Amino acid sequence: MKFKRLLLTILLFFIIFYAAAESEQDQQLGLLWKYAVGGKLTGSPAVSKGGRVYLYAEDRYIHSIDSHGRFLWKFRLSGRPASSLAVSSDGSIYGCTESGLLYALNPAGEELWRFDAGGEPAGDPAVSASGTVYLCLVSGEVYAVSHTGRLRWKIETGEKIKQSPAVDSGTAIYIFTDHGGIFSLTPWGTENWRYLPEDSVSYELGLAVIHRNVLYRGRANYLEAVGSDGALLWLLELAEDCGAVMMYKNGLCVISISGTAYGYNTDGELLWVNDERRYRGYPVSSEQGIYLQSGAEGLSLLSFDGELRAETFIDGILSQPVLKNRMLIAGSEEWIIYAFSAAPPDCSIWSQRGGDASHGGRTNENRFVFNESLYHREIDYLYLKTMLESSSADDMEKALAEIGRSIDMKPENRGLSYILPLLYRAIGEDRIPGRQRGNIAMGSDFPAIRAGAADLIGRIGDFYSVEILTRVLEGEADTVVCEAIINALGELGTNYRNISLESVYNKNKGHSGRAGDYRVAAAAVRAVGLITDYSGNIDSEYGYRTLIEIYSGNYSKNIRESAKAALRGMR
Amino acid sequence: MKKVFFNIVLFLFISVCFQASAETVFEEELRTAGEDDTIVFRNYSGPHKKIDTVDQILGIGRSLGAGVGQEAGDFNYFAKYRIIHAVDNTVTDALDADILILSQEAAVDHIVNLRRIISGYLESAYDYDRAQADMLSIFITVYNAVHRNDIGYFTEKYKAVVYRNLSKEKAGLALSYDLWPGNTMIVIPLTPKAGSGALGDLDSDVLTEEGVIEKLREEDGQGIEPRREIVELKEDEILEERQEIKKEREELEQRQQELIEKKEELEKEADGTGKPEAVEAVEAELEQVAEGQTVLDEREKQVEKREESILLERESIAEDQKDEISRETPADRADKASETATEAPQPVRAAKVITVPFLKLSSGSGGYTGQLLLIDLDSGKILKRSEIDSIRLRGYRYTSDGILSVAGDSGGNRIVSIVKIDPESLEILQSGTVEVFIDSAVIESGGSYYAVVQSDGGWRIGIFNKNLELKQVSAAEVFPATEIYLRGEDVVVQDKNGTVRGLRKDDFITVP
Repeated sequence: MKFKRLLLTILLFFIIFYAAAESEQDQQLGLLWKYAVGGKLTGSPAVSKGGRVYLYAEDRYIHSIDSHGRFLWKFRLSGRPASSLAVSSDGSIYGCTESGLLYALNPAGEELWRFDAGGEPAGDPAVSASGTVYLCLVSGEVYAVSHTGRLRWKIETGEKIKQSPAVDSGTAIYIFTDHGGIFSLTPWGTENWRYLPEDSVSYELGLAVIHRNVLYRGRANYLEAVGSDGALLWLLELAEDCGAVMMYKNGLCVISISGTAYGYNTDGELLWVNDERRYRGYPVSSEQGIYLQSGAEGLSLLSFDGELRAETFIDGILSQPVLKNRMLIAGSEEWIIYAFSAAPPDCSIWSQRGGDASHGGRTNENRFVFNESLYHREIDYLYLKTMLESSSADDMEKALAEIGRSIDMKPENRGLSYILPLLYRAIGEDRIPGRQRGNIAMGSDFPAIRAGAADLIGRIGDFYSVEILTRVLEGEADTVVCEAIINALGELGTNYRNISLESVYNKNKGHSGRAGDYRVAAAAVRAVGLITDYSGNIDSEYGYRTLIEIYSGNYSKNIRESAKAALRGMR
Repeated sequence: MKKVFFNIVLFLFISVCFQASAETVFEEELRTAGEDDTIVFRNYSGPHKKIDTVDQILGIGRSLGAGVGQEAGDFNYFAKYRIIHAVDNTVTDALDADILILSQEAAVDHIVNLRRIISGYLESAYDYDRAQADMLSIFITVYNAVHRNDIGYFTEKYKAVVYRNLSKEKAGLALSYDLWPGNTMIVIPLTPKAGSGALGDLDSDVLTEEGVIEKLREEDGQGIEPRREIVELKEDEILEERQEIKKEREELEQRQQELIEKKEELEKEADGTGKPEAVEAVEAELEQVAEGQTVLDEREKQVEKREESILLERESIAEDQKDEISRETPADRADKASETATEAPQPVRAAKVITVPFLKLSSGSGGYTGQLLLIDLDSGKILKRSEIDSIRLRGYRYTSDGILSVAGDSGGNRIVSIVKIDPESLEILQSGTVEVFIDSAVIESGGSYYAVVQSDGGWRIGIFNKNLELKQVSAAEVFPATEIYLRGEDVVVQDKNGTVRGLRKDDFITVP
């Protein structure tokens, strides 16, 4: 017994010792690797969930390197890059040129599409958890572009915009105007609220942070907190202009333009001040402290009490770092990218910077909940709903045709908030366990309607649509509907959360030879091709398996040959 | 017995191997002494009569550039440095230039200072900021070294107003400082924008032509820093050019619109009997506008072409920078070690490094001069080289204060004097300002240094304090190359007739 206790004590000692040693090591900011590119970075690096580092440099390339600083690929743009890249949750990379040309690349560095916004972008693009890319122009326009490169909506704020949009996924997109105004928009481009400060002065500002539905930001020499309804909660006058604001474990870290770091709690009370160094840039919050750029060539780590804990220096001025996993990555004026060992990021905190490669979304992906009550007076909505809820196949078809026409004639209607929810219900979302909506069971008995809805979802859907389609597909028996859903998944391209290909595989597994299966198989071959192209053939295991299943199955020669060709096409 | 014999043979074999390897090392060293075609400027490193501050040196250039405008002109600085602002607006198919001429009286003897003069000139003549001017001065000197004596190149590339002022013997920049005075015409390529106040006075594309970049890449660090900076300058130039084109295009479009409207009005007013003269005039102006747009299209194409070449240079810099990084990161070193792990094991060297100082001599216009090297005899590696390379033939002596030597050169601002060198870093600790005989002996005794100095029209023994200030000189003249030997209080020398004699304490006169 005594021996066991002794053994346990020794074990505990070692655990504590190693934990302390590791924590010490994290704080040392030791150089892990360096990588050279052909110009200064135009913003901060972006790091995907998988640890791939993307760099946007003045050499007109998007560079991709692995987490050890080794070259993966680079992609040439047609113009000068603007600001930073954004990386979507499905791994797609978005970057904008100075002329407003928005590029989308897959993780293999292949161009998916480009969208011309036709003006000087304000800051970075931001991607929501549903895959929609938001881009602001200095001239005041805000664009929402689907992950497939289609315009969802565009609005004109009527005011100049300086800063990147902030996306609180699922609930709001915040637009910051040149004179201090904040526009809160729904993901569909309608206005939630707007906050216009009394003293509308032009200002250089730090990014905004949102914590527990309160938006904090620095504006000139003010620190302000705005509630989820757009009302000012408190306003704090600072001794000098604010350079940046960031959330950390105990509250807000504010960097003044003269380089002093301040800690405030979320009620605006001062907690600490650190003026040991001239701090700059945006603070990055980690589990062990706050990383800050210091002086011209330094990086510092402050404790949560504002004490200087560690620092490192390089030859050259560092750009804004990002923190991902245990790496702090920053570019330098000397065209070199540095990766330092660091503490893990504090994932509980939402910020526009500091490791969130999407430049927007909350790390916990809030879903947009369709609020039907908002539309109970909207005639178009009521008409479509009534038609789709009727038991008449003709009416339902008419409604779908109307939606299709509306999408074709007015591209901005793709962004109408109620269209996708209506289509989800038409395809049979109600059949998904846990998603039943009262007594409405639209489309459950009309396979042609379900197939038509799937087709439309394929044209305007987002990442959530993939979830709906795959779950409907799981329980769907009708081959026409299955074919339509698989086609829609192919059209949407993304292998979001790796579920598209798995779902297509599961649908085809063991189904060969039965009547109608060949249609599903043909759709699967096509969809696998589209999805693997879109995702750069990354995480395509189920794609291979699907094609092999079809190739070796009891299908017609044509289908088997097309599966073989598709297999050859996959690298 | 066999064992003894075997040991002797082994010893002899190792000795021969060691000698062979040592010879190889020194041969390699000799080969890198500047005889190949890399651009290595040979600078004077030794005592000076007068030390100019950085600002004073920059001031030479600033003064030269103060009068430069858009018109041709000729400016000089106390007849030592001269600028010919060789521009001719009537010719468009070749380059204008500024020619910096170093006269026989020019005292500059170090490339850093020559670059400072050029930098000061660019600041004052063309409003480049200091960092840009410093960087451009590097390219200008390398460019001129690449094209030294290449009159054919200058004739082909530059306007007559430029090459008529050049001579084959003096065009460009020699690699050695002693060839600079009276023998240098540095050509600074200009664009038609020079002096207009817009960015891009100097033709940065000509300054970064392939030959120049190649020479920079051969330097330590592959010239990455200046190459990076000039790329950024070029990008700024392009940005400005694009903005100019955009502005001019907008103006032309506006004018075009006005003319079209005017033409329509005039045509409406016309009675239909024929084309009125006013309409013809408007049409002629419209044609001019269209021609202007064509010119802008051409400029736009040129900008795009230039942008492409900048992108290639960016890629090249990135590759070179990666190369530099791979040499320095421990991870890469470890990789390299693993790659070579299969090679034959290397003999283990002794841990303690035994170094020997060695005076490496070379011949120049002022006779033989030397540079001190610290050599690790064990590995055959040269561990350090003294910056000073003008140590005179009488060599050096170790003293309690460092290495004592006579070094320097005559001409310009240079003198031969006593210098003290740090025995470990080989850096100059102190250098005197009193001229000593070029082949003077130098010794230390009792906290004083003895060397032959010129005083009252003759060579005498001078006694210096630790700060290398001359305190006393001998009353008697001596043979300038005399040995100096101290015995008690007697200083044994050769007098001016060559006779060996002793000087007593009271034979020395205190210098006022």
